[in-house]
Order: sequence, then C-alpha cells, then structure tokens
Amino acid sequence: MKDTERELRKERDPFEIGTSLMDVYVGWVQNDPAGLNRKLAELAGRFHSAWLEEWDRFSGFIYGTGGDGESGQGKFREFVGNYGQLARKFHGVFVNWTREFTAGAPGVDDRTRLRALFWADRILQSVAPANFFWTNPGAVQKFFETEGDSLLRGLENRLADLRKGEFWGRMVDSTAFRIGENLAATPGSVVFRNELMELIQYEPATDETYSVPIVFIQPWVNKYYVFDLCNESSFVRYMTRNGYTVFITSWKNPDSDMAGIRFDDYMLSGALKAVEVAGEICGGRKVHAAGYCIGGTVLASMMAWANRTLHESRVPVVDWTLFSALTDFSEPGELGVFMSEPAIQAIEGLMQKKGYLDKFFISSIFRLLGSESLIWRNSVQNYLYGGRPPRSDMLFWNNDGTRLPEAMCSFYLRKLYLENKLAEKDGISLGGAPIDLGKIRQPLYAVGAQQDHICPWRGTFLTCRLTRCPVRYVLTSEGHITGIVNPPSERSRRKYWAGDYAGENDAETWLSGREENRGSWWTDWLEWMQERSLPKTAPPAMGSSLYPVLGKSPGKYVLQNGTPEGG
Amino acid sequence: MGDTFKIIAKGMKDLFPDMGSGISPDTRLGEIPDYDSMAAVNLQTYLEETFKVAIPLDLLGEELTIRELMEYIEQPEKLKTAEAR
Repeated sequence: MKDTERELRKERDPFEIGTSLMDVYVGWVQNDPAGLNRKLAELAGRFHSAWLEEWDRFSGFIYGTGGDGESGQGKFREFVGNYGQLARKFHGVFVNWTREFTAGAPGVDDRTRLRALFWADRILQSVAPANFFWTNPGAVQKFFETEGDSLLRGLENRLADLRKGEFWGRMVDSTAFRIGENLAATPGSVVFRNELMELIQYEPATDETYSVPIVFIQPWVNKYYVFDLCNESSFVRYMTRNGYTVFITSWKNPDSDMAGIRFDDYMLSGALKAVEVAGEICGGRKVHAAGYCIGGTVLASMMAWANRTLHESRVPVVDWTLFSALTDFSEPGELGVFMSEPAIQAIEGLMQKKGYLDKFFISSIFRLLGSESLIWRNSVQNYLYGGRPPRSDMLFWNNDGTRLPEAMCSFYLRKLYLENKLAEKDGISLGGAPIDLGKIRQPLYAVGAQQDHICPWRGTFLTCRLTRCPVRYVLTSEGHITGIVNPPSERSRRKYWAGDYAGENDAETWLSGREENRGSWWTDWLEWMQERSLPKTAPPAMGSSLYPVLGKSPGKYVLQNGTPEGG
Repeated sequence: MGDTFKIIAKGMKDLFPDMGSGISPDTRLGEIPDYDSMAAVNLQTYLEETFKVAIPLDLLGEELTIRELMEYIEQPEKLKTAEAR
C-alpha cells in the first residue's frame, strides 16, 4: 500500500482497525502469494477435519436414528446442543487460524501486527457462538424451561440498558452498594480540599500507631475507594489495623472548567500537597508515599522533582511504593494499540469541545481490553439468559468511572505513552524542573501483577533500571486490580515473588532467581516499611490547626457522578 | 457431593459457554477459556448467590479444582484446616 494511501486510511480509521487488518492481508499478497494460498487451503482443511470430528453427532439426526425415545423437544434440544458444539469448534478453528495468519504475515511491522492481532481477537470474540441465541445451548434450554420468559426478560434488560446509556451493557447490580455505607466506609475525615483533590485521614484502629504515616496517591481514572471496598478487602482498613495512620487522595471528577489542568498540577497540587499535609498533621514527619497506576506515575515524577529541587533533608518522603505503575512506557501492553499519532489526534478531537475525555470513552477502552469478561459474559447473562448482573463491590467500583482533563490527558498520552519522555533523563519538565528518575535517593518498593493488561508487569519492572535508589521488586499473581487489592487469608491460592533488585537487565532474569511464595505480598510490604516507621506513639489527632477537619469521609468529590446511574 | 457438582457444572457452563461439556471434578479453574480475575469475580458471585456461602476471591485461583471447590462449599472449615497443616 502506498504511504499517502495509508495516511489517508489512518485519518478515516484512527485506531487502525481496518488498516491494520488490511496491512496483514496486503503483506501476504505482496510478499508471499503462494503462502497465502497455502494458508487458505489449510483453513479449508481444518474446517473439513472439524466437520468430520463432529459428523457422528449429526448423522443420527440426518439418517433418523438419533435421540431414540426422546420427545420432539428433547430431540430438538439435543440437535441445538450439537449444533452449538459444531459452531464452537468452527469458531475455534477460525480464531486459531486468524492468529497464526496475522502473526506470520510477511512484511508487516510489529506495531501493525499487534494492532491487527488485537482487533482481530476483539472482532472474533464478538461473533463467538455463545453470544447468539441459536448457537448457545444454555440460552435455548432456559428459553424452554421458562417458556420464553428468559428471552423476554433479556430484551427488557437490553432496552433498559440502552435507555440508561449503557451501550456495552450493565456490568453490576449497583442497587446493593452505597458509597460511604458499605463501600468507602472505613471511618475517617476529610482534612484538606483544593480544586483538585480531597485528602482523607482515617481514624486509628490501634492504641498506638507508627509515627510515619502512609499516604496513598490514587489513580484519577476511577474513584479512590478501590482501596476501601467492603470490609474484608479494604486495604486502608488492613493498614490501620496494622498500626498505621493512613491518608488517601480522592480526586475531583473534572468538568469543562478544568480543561487546562495539567499533569504538573496533579503532581504539585495533588501528590506533593497530600504528603505535605499528612506530614504536618503527623507532627512534621516524613511519610511513606504509595501510588497506584497513574497515581504511581505522578508519584515517581514528584519524587524526581523533589530530589532535584529540594535539599535531601527536606524531601517529604522517607520511602515510596509503586503499585502497578509505569514510568517507562516502552512496554504498554495492549493499551499501546490506542497510542499512535492518528489515535491521539482523534482522542484530542473528542476532548476539544467539552474540555475533558468522557468516561464513556475511557470505560469503553478498558472494557475492550478485557472484552470477554467485561462485555460478552455480561451480555450473555443479561440478554440471552434474562438474568441480572452480579453484585460485586469490585465491579461496582470498576463501573464508577471518571473523566480526564484535556490538557493533562493530552500530555499523558503524547509525552509519556507516545514519546516515552519520563524514561529519558530530563526528557520532560514538570513544575519548572527537568525530571530525572535517576536522581531519586529514597528506597522504592515496586509491585507488578502477572495478568495485568493495563500496566504489564514487565513494563513496571523497567522502573528498577531507571532509578538508582535501593529497590525491592515484587511480582504478584492476578491482574491490575486483584493483584493489588490482595488481602492476606489462610485460604489464598495467590502467589508472589519478592526480592531486591540487583541490576538484572530484564524481568525474566530477576524472576528466575526468586522463590515462589503463597499468599499476599501485603505482609512483605509491611515488613519492608516497618524499620522506617518506628517509633510507635499515641495516634495523631484528626487534622490539625493548620488543616482542620472539613467533614466526614468519604467526602464530596467521590460522590460527583459518584454512582454509575449518575451519568 | 453429586448435587453440588451438578450445580457448579451447570453454573460454569452458563458463565463460560466455551467450556462445552468437558467439566469434571478434576477440572482446574485455569482450564476455563480466558479465565482471569474478572472471570473469578463472576464465578464468586454465582457461587455465593447459589450456595449462600461466602467465597473468598483469593480462593478461586487457576489451580483450584472443582473437587476442592465442592469441598469448600460443603465444609468451608475442612479446607481451612487442611491448608493450615
């Protein structure tokens, strides 16, 4: 394909859905036409083999010898079951063949190949037999069992979802949860508020607390209370019970007035202000600072900024922790599919009118990344089976999205994802100072999650190489959320690997020298922080004369468009 | 145990239709196509609503077999004791 033609296509197709798939096909045609013919013949052969394997199931029906003694409805259900099995088999054959066809396409660059694999997978997932009534035997069975009521309820569910603007379908039964009652319910107070965030201080749960508090810098792509879900899985509750004074940022959900808010503002008026306020309330102490996802990225930037602009004794952080956070964006995983000049231009176009990136767009991307779990399973349950979505605190939180301010979002996508400038020494300037992660001196604890498709663990490991401070790296099983919100329990089947970073060049080498541990890494983190947390003293008061209590937690900002119904 | 298995197997077929009919007590959760942490949340909700037993999310790892899951549901204390040893 000519370059000009390709550019024109990208303008019309900024996410390169059709373009990348077409490039794969053209790659075969131009570079190996004989190979293309072999591939097509191979596909026909695999379909034929699949049909022969399933033939026995159908021969009885065709020759009238199947389903003896069964009623007409029983025979029909058996036929549908076999038909569904055949459809699954054909679909599986085509999915595997398409992956091989795309992965092996000659003359196609790696980025295009990754995009083509991503979009081909998403398209083929959308046409999986289970997503359609006649090729989902469970749906047909429910139809007969309920005399058609299941499908009728499913239709009602779909219409109700469309009326509420839930294009992808509801993920969660939100009637079971109330923010501040059974979610985000650990007792605490808002002790600081500015135009960007509220800072919450939690009440102590022990007679004495460590004198060094913990400040959680939360991501602003969702609400802060992922660390304060229902009692058993609340991270903040776990930390207060283990003797810590805990603070957490709750970000304002941006509106048009915040279009000009920059990444710098999140660093200075957000992360830096949070650690300063927490330190002041705790008697002028330095703090343990811990950032999750983009909250970790801004914390890393703040640590570099503070080490550049402040004397070491005045850096307000004693050690820092990153939970599933990227600072080097060269391995962005599947999110990289959306990071190209045409895609970012298209996203900037979406933001221009309102001054923010809408939560529907953000949630659509996350749901596409995990489409099997976050789109199609719900669709089958809600619409084909006529069921209702599950009651889950984690899914409720997942569905409670926020917007992103235009200036910050554009900077984040361009400078960090597209140009990877945070990984370069002095590659960007924030708060008036060049940012060099190599200047950070305070110890780092970094956590990556094995199944994380938002911040892949190999990408999170790259931070070890960018800093020159002592680093303890931890790899946990599970994904972006469940790997981090990972309460210890006797029955846990989870695993983690932990160890000091000793200059290993890549993540695999680091992992090969680590022992597998059963359970949660939270206990390892407690141990790592403890020696820098002492002494234990009487808990600090809630707020201070400089930062008085402004109200009870969870505060106001979390409730802005707080419930999914809130729009 | 027979009824528990039948109920779990039916629920799993509904939740994960691509499993087809190949579910046995020795099936590991990791054998479910595209099993991930969100799939575990879906399975947890189904089991809790069906059996009225609290199922810890961290129990539902890829290595857990249906047999172990049945043991937990029928006697939650049994698994706890076994693992403590």
